[in-house]
Amino acid sequence: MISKDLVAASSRPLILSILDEEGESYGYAILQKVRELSKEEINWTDGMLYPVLHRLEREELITAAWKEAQTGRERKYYRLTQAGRNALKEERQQWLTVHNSLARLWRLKTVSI
Amino acid sequence: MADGSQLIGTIMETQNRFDLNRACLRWRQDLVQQGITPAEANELESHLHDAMADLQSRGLSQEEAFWIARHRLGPVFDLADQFAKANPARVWQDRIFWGAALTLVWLAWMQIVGLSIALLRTFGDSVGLHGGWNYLAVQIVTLLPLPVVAVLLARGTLSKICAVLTRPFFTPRRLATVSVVLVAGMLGVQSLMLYQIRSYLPAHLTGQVTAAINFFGSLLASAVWPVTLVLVMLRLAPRQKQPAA
Repeated sequence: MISKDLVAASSRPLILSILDEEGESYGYAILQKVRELSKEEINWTDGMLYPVLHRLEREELITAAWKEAQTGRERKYYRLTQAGRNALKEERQQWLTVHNSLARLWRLKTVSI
Repeated sequence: MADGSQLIGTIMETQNRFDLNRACLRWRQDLVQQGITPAEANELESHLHDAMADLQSRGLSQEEAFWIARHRLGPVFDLADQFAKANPARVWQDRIFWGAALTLVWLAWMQIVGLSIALLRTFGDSVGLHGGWNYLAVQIVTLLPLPVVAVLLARGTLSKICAVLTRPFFTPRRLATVSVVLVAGMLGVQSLMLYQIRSYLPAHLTGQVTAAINFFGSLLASAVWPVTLVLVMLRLAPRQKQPAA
């Protein structure tokens, strides 16, 4: 299981990357996606996602809109803004730098940044 | 006995009929009361329905799905806390609120100190103790809380006491009640002391009119701070309903 601090730190790049990949998505689907990607190792409590999403929204990295889903209920869908895409590039670079540093120490494959 | 078992029967019947709308509504009310905005509550409710649909598709009943989905979202208080922490404006509101609360408590404490000193002095006068006793009275009253706080701190009970003492501040209605009682108490003490001071004044200064104006004027002046603080607190009460974004 991933530690609490790492869960908190990685929430931002994960959300930005998922929205980049999916185009748009909503809270529950983002959570499911994170569980699936991490094979249940990254265990976000359901409630912690929304404050993070709202912070990203205030930073104008993502925008949100209420839309009617197929179920007939309304859902709040999030998508990346241009600033969000730029922030994601920055995040990606930082995380890969960390990744490569550890990879070199652990004699694993590095990736090009 | 018959009445009792009938009552239990009614309760069980009510529990058996799970009303999703009512359960959701109650949960929403809890959320909003803890300081989550209606817009945020809408989103959490939509999440709850998504999670429920998922659980129900795996064979759970509506009621089971509701409780599990609710449990996964976490306790209402923690949710509100996380939402509040993510919003810097609200963090500042909280800080100002607690600053105001502390100032109010301090003002109330000073009143208690003032009253205790006056009482000890009156006692000293009545038994013929003067100068030295007055000095001692001030020392006793102002320094007494220090060892008490130190002992409580050492025993680790201070944080528990704080938790209990701050509990009244978490709903606006209780906060308003506590504040009104506190302010009324402070003004009561103040008026008592003013009355006493007036009785010491020489006769030619205590014309009824002047005395009345001074009395109410002073009372009004001493009410300004506590009332302002209470208004600030009511406006910024943490976990209180915020205007929707």
